[in-house]
Amino acid sequence: MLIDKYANPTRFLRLAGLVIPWLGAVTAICLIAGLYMAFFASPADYQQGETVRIMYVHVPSAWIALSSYLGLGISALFFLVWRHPLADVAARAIAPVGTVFAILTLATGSLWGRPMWGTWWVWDGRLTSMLVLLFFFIGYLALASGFERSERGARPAAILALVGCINLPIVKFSVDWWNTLHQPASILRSGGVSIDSSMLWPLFTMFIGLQSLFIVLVLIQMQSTLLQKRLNRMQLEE
Amino acid sequence: MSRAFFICLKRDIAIGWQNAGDLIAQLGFYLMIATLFPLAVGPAPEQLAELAVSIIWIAALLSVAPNFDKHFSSDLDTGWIDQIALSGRGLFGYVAAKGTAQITMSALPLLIFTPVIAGLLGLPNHLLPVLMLSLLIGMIGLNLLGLIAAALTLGARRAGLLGAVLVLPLALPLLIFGVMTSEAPIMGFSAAPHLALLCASVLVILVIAPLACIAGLRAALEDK
Repeated sequence: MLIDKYANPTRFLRLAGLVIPWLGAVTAICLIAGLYMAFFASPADYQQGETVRIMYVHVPSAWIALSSYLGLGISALFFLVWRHPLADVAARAIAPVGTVFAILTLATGSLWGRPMWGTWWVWDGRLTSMLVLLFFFIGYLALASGFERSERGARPAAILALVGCINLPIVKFSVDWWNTLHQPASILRSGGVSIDSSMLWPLFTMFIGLQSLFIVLVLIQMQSTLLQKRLNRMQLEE
Repeated sequence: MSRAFFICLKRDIAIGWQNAGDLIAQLGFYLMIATLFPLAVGPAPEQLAELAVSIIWIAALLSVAPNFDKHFSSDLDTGWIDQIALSGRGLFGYVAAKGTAQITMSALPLLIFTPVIAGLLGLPNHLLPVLMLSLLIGMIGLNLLGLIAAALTLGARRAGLLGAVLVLPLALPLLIFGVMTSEAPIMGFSAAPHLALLCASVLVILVIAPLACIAGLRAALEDK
């Protein structure tokens, strides 16, 4: 199985060293092209005006924040079930980057909400569930680093990530239903426009750029964790 | 399994009686949180009656949260968990007993105490039965989540705070469905659909809790 082959840290490091420059190049190209298209080569929205350009960061960030929690759960599963040696390293690398994307989603959404809705924040279902996702990330980070020896936190944190994966859909539904009872959905409906291709392309390019940025950051973090471990071991051997 | 369950349950209930002071502190904390709201939002009776359900739910949630870390730590220190793991009976009976004891020794007193707080906040009498029922179910779920948090934070620095940080996001569905159940009669709806969702959330937690607790305990045992 491919995933077993890269259980060997040395082999993984070789692969990561190979992949990082290429993905870095993809990131740079996509982000430059995406930002250019987002700022200059895409039309302003007929209702929202220039503020619609926030979407090109906001929407991809939200997708990445959500999928990175899924990645965290998958890493946790690999760690608990197959004791994959890199799974904990991967999970610990994914969590902070995912946290940053969740914060980025909330921050850009808030900046977008101010001119559009006239408020920085509303207790709407989608906003609240993204906030709860951030809480889940914070819980994971706190538990993973909450022990004297950091390896001791690996299994509890992995269990928490899995429990979170099962619970997150329930939380999401509960928050959505809670919102629909208390608050009419009039605010979030911006006319219900399906996206035009002149906006879809910049969005798609930004998504690829940010997603590969995410992967590059996670790989670099994993790489440095593994090298740090190797360094510690060498110091112990001396 | 069932023998281990009853032995552990008897022991936990006995320990619970011995530490009755903890329970008094918890009930006092419950009362105090509920008291903060009238002081903060003002004593206007209509407003308080309107907020009463939410206040009681938040107070109940918060008063349970600081207790989570104590569940397993003394048993781990005294070697009780090692002995059970070594006995070959498996940890399931132990964890199930712990959960049952926790619900009887902590959730039930809190529930019995609730009408007092409801009276203080001026909750209309006809809402009390629904509130009590939803609170009972919600507290079962919350205590099981607390058990998970206790098992996962075993041996961590500042386990108490960490446990609360882990539990509160997981407990959101209980809070939301619980408050919806309790408030449905006010708006003239049937409480049944919300109650069903609350029960469903608790059942999901009931399935996860033993697995997560046992896995957490095993991690702590291996580390010892």
